[in-house]
Amino acid sequence: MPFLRWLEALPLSTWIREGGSIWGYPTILFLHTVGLGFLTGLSIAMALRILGVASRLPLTPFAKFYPLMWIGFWVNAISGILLLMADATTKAINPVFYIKIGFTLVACLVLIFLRRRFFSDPMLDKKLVSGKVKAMAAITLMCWAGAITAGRLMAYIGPVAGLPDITNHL
Amino acid sequence: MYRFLYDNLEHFSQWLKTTGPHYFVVHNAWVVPACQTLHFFGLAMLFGMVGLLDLRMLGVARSLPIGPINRVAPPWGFAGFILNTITGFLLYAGDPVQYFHNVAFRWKMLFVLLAGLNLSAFLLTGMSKKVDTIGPGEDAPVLAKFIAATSLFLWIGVMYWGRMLPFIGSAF
Repeated sequence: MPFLRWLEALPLSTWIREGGSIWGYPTILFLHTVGLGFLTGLSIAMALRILGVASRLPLTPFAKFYPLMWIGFWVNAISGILLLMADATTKAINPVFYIKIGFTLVACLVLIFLRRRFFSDPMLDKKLVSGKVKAMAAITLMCWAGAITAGRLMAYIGPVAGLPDITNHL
Repeated sequence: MYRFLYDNLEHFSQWLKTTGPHYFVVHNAWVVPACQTLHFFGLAMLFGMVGLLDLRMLGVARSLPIGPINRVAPPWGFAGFILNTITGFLLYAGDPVQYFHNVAFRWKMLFVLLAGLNLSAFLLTGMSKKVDTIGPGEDAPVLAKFIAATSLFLWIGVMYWGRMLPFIGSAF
């Protein structure tokens, strides 16, 4: 707790939380949403293709979307750390936050596994997609649903952070 | 024209406060968080599909033929859009006057409208038909690229105004 209080009291954290600047909390929250759009959006498109939607599309080129998904990931890792710092004493002790991180971690590990073991196969488009790979695609979909739900519920369940003067849940 | 729209939408928002959807949202604490969560599901679905098609037209993952994307992205993206229209309407119904007077909300709706016009341009200029024939490794026409870039800009803009609802203009 002393560490979290120290983190939350840092000038950067205080500025994000209380600075009242559009470039603080609002913009960081916006970037967190854009990152979500790229990472989960493209991951959903890829998972649907693996599960058999638009099977006339070759699978191999989907690997090209990985760099954009990782950009989305890093945008969200950084913006997420900043949002966490700003409200460390509440968010970091909220179990819902760790559920969100858990789902995100599993989804990203599965994405890495698919990149290394599935998309690296030069004969990818000559074979049927195995049940195991389809299960992994389904797991990423479920994990994103879980991560988004947990992320949203952090504003409602457990110790809830919030900007002063704003009664609505962000 | 503006006055007409303003007055009618204001009346509509006032009236909405006396209807079932409004009472449903305000009397059930779970409805707002549920709608917000589903609104993000719809966002991911819509933006994922928009991104897939637009990024390919802009030259990412060139070895994908555009035709099959152009057949699958619109229905799935549209499903996300419908989900967000329903959940968005319920969120609006929960506090209609507040949303009506919110500047960011007006910008958001304007950007959604512009994205719709941009989609119409994609269909009406024949670009949608044209990109259907573009195979692996081939480039989309410049006009299609312009429409794709506009689409990405507008949908990211929609996210921006959505996020700014509590921060710009009348705060919640």
